[in-house]
Formats: sequence, C-alpha cells, structure tokens
Amino acid sequence: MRWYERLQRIDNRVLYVILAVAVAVPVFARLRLPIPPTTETLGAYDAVEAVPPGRLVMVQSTWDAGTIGECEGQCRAVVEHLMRRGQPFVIWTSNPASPPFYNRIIEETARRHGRIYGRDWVDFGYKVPGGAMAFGVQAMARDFPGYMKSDVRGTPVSRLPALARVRNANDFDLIITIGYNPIGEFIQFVQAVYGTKVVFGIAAINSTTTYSYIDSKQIVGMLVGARGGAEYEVLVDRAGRGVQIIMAQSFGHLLIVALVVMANIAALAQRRAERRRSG
Amino acid sequence: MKRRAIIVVTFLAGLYYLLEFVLPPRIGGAPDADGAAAATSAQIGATRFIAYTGLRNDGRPVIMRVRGDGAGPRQVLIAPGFSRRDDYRGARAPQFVAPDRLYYIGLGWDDRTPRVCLARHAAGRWRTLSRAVLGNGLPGEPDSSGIAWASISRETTGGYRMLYLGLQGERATLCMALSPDGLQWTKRGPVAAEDINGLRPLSVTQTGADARSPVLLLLRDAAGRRILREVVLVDGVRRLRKLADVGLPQGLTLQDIRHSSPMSFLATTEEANGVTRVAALTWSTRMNALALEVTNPTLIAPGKKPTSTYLSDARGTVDDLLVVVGAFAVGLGLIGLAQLHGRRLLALQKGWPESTAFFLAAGAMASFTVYARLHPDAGTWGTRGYDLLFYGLLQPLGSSMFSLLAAYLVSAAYRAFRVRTFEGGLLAASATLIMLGQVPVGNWLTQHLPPYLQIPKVMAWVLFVNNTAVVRAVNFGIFVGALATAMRVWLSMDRASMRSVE
Repeated sequence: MRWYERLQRIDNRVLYVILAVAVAVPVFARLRLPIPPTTETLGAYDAVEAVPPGRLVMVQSTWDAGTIGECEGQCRAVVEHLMRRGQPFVIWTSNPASPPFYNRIIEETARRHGRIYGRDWVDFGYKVPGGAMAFGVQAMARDFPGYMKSDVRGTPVSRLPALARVRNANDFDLIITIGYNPIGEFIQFVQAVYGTKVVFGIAAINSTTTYSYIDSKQIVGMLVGARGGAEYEVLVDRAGRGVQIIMAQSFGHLLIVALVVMANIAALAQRRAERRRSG
Repeated sequence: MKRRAIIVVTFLAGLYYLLEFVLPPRIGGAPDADGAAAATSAQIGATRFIAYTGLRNDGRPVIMRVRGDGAGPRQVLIAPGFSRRDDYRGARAPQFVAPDRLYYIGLGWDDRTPRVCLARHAAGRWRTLSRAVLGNGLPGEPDSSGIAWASISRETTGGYRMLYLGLQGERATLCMALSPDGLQWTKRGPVAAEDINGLRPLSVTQTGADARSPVLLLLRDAAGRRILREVVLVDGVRRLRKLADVGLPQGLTLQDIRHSSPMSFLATTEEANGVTRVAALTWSTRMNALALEVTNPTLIAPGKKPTSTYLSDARGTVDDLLVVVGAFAVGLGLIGLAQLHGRRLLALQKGWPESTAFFLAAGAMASFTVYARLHPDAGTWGTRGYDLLFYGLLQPLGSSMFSLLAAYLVSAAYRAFRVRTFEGGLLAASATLIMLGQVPVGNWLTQHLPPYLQIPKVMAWVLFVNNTAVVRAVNFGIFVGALATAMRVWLSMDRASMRSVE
C-alpha cells in the first residue's frame, strides 16, 4: 500500500483515540489562548448592562444534558452577570429536563452573591410545552401573572416581591433565551409587539440561520455555542466551564482541519499517480 | 366510537386554543381602565377641558380629554399611530400651550424611547406632527435614553422655553431647550440645581411665562418620599436656586404635578395597588409655610374596566387537563414497557439482563425523584441518591450520546470531504474558515496579520454578509412557496390533495 493510500485509510479507532487526546490535553493542561469577544457576544453583554437597575429580565432556558457543552457556559455567564448587577430575573423552560441544570448554576451563583429567591430571581420551571410555544409566548406576553399564576414553589405571582406590578411583556426590559434552538416566537410575539429586547444563546450549528436577526436588529445579541459562553465568561471576568470547553474544542477543530487537508493531499497524489499510470 | 371521541376532543381543544389566541383576554373597557395620569388643563376658544394620559393593560398609553370639571364623556385625543414612528408605542404626559398646541411625550418605535411630540389644533381637530420636535441625545449625553417629562412655557418675548427631564438609563437630569417658534428646538444642556443630589426628579413645571417665575420640581428620595421644591432660574437661566420646600398633602403619593392656572395644579396620585388618578390641588399655607392642599382627590378616576372573555382565565385549567392526558400517555407507555420486559424477564428470554436494567433504572429514578421532591432540603441518602442518579448518571449519559457526534464528525469529514470541483473547494475553504473562526485558535494563528486577513474578521464577514443573504433568500423562497401552496389548497386548485380525501 502506497503512502497516499495509507493516509486515506486510517482506522476509525486510531482517529477516535487521537480525537480523545486532542480534546483532553487542553483541558488537563489548562491551556489558555486570548478570547476576544465578537460583535454578537458584545451585543448580548451590552444589552444586560443597559437594563436599568431594578428592571426585570426574563431568561428562558431549554438546554439539558445533550447540549451542556455548548449552553452551560452561556447560562453560567449570563446568571453571573445578572446576579452580580443585582438585576432581578425570572427563569422558565419548555424542556422538563432543563430545570435541574439551570437551578444548580443559579443556586451556586446566588450563594456567592448573597441573592435571595423571590426578590432577586423567580423560577417558574416547566411552563410552556415546546409544541404550544406560539400560543404560550403570546399569552405570557399579554398577561404574565395570568398565564404564569404561580412559581415552582406554588407562590402566587402577586406575592413575589420581584414581580410586583408586572403585567405584561412591557415590564421586561430584556429576554434571554438559551438552548439548542432558541425560541423564535419571542421575536414574533414579544419583540415586534412590545419592543422588548431579545438575546439568543444558541448551539453553534443553528446559529447560521439566526445571524439575519442581528442584522435586522430583531435580536440585540447572540451567544454562539461554547464560543459565546467563553467570550461572555471573559467579559464578566469569570472564566469557567465555557473557557475550558472552547480550548478543548479548539484542538478538536484543528484536528478535523488537519485530517481533511491531509486526506485531500493524499487523494490528489493518488489521482495524479493513477493518471500517470493510465497515460 | 373511540375514534370519534378522540376527534371531538382534539377539535374542541384546538378550537379553544385558537379562540384564546385570536381573541383578547378582556373586551370592552375604557382606554383609561388602568389609570389616569399626567394631566394638563386646556382651552380652545371658549371650551375648557383637561387632557390627560389614559393607561391601559396593553402598555400603549393614550392622551384623552374630559370636561374641565372631570365629569362627562371622555374621548381619545391622541392615540399611538402606526404611521408615526415617534409615538408608535404610546403618547403620554400632555401639556397644553395656548392658543393651539399640545406638547406630549411620544413613545417611539425604537424600544419606546420617549421624546417630545406636538399636536396642533386646526379646523376643529388635533393634528399631530409627523416627527418629534425634540428627541433623545447622543450616547453619553444626559438625555441619551430619551425625555421623560417636559414643561414648556411661551415667553413674553415670543420664544419658547422647555425644561425637561433627560434620561440616561435610569438617571434623570433636568435640562433646558429654547426655541423661537416651538418647533425647532436648541438644547442648552443640563440646568444645574442646588440640593438635589441623591434625589430623583419626577416632574418639573413652570408656573409662569417669565424666566424668573418659580419652577416646581417634584423629587423622590431614596426612601421613596416625595419632596416638592420651589426653585427659580438664575445666572441667565443656567442654574436653579432653591426658594423653599412646599408642603405636600398628607396621605397622597404624587407621581407628577403640572401647573394648571395661577392658583391650581393637576397632579397624578398613586394608590398602594398601583392605580393612578388625577387630583386637583391648590396653594395654601401650613404653619406659615407654602403648601399645597387637595381640592379634589379624584378629579379623574380610572375608566370602566374591561370584561373578561374567560378564555384566558380558563387557560391554566385546560393546560392542566392536557398535562393529565399527557401523563396518562406516559403511564400507558410505562405499563406497556413493563409488560414487555416483565414477560421477557419471567421467561428468562434473550435480553433478560437488559429488562432487569430497565426495571432497576425506572424504579430507582422514580423513587429517588419522588423522595427528593418531597424532601428537597433534607440532605439525606435519598437526596444524595437523586443527585447521584441525575447528575452522576443521567447527565453524563446524555452528554455522551451527544458527544458521539464529534467522533462521527471527525470520521465523516476525513473520509468523505474530498475537493474535486471549484464549488467543493469553496465549501471546504468556508468550512475551514468557520471552524477555525469559531475557536480562539483561529484568532491566535492570524492575530499578527492585517485585520482583513484575520480569521475572526473574515468569518464575521462570511456569516453576516454571505450567510445572511443566502439564509434570507432561502427563507424567502420557502415562504413564497408555502404561500402559493396554501393559496392553491384554499382555492381548491390543488386537485391532487383533494383527490386523496375524496
């Protein structure tokens, strides 16, 4: 077997071992590269900074174990930013598997900043099923207390200090939706109707279809995959899981590019050799 | 029969959600159902009336009019206009300036940024100007977030003077603007005021046309107490000097106050439940000090409340019913699984170890979860077991499933990605660019190159320009196609789809 044939037939098991080493080494060696924030991440950060003190932010989180690599860093950085500023927020989900994940982050961060449930944040848990998102988001935007009724602990909205006087989407200054595929209904039924700003936290693979919303100013910022989480962590000066993952991802991407280039060089050499033999 | 029942239930549920979606939660009711606020007294010819802000649940305030004594029918004077960008999301806080002007705060299409708009009375009706007369300032200026409140007075010399509260985020600063005609305004910047550090201005009102006439500033301190301060413009109207604090009526929380006539004021009072009313006040003296006393605490009360359609009120119950139906489906699924695996386990058929694992996993997860829900703060073996199962087992397994993608991706890219054509080369180049641009290593590799060659910059150009154009084109094509298909079906032109039904 010639060299170009050998380079195109590397066993899958070898590739998997190289991949495992490539993503594990940066994590254990704690490698660090500069992470300059991109326009879309800066937009998200600035949107949180622009919320006046005391005004409410809505966080909608649908990520779970499957998307933890991309979305955990985003959620952690956003919650850190909100709690550091003392910005009250409500959080809810349309994925029943999500609450344990975001609750762990919120409780850790709240302990560090001395934030109190009910005053600084409110959890509504699993509220709108994914299939009924258009109806749910519209009803919630129109009459928030009427739709939500009570939080996960059973406390009526009217008795939660953070939600005193909340009536509809006008009372929220910013909506941040974090998940594999963020909720586009916030653009249709909230941003367009009430003017509330929207930020997306999204898996990188889905982000290409949502860049047009930034261009049209329908969303003010976007956290793209692990990169978005890492950049936001750098902006709030608390490097954590997002930075760790993006370093591992860096070497994973480099490996893929290197393998594709190598295989293409080998294929080119093979084509030339075959042409020479036949001609 | 069973099928028919399912169809009927599905249809009724769908009908309910459709009606709940289409119909408003409440119908009828006045445009000022949730409160009346920020009023001004006005006179056109011999007709005296009060223009005030009507508040309602939809968050789009309107300007309304009512007879001078607050009685009689109420009419909408200025409503948000879809064709006007500067009061697209609402109009509030009017101020009448004789003989025919009504200045007001318009909430613009751009995130409700407030700005000063103008309506003029001509030929028996009010006509709004298409654009605001005074908008928000540039970033960094004290009115960069808009203008919350304005008090305009027509000077004896013929010009116009405006004192306004500029917003920069939540911070409000008293500023001034001058105009020769009330249309073209020149901002003169902040007006320095004594002794208002730490106090937030809520409203300002000039009590006369003369620049030396007293100005009343309503302030709020950190504890939420209201302070009404009488001040006067000095130093060529660049500074405010305190004259005195004016006593406020006991038991009323003022939101704003506006001078109405030489002796009277119109103020917005707020109740504990947040409902606002317009009250009439007049000058008086209390303990030999200047004070205001209430002549009518409810000059304008909130209007008629809307009636509920009950559709939104029932939403929670209907949702719960559907959740119960969903829970039954889950329960039926579980019973089915238990029957299947139970039979296999009892007969020790092939795969019985997996069936055992199913019973163990389902039983352990269900019991630990129920225990953890019932004793959330117990910190016992039960909650520790839940943590172990959820965070120690379920989460890593879920992540592992998704992570397998990485392995398949490496293998697939390595084996299948061969550049054989020009288009293939373009695809490979853009994919490489995006892959390296999405991670810090792309920036690190090209950080010393000129900016237009750095990978993150090129990636941003590809994503924001090329990608956006393509996504829009594709979406546009999809929706035009969907529209055409919908029209064909609707107009019964699509015979193929009808044939299957026939």
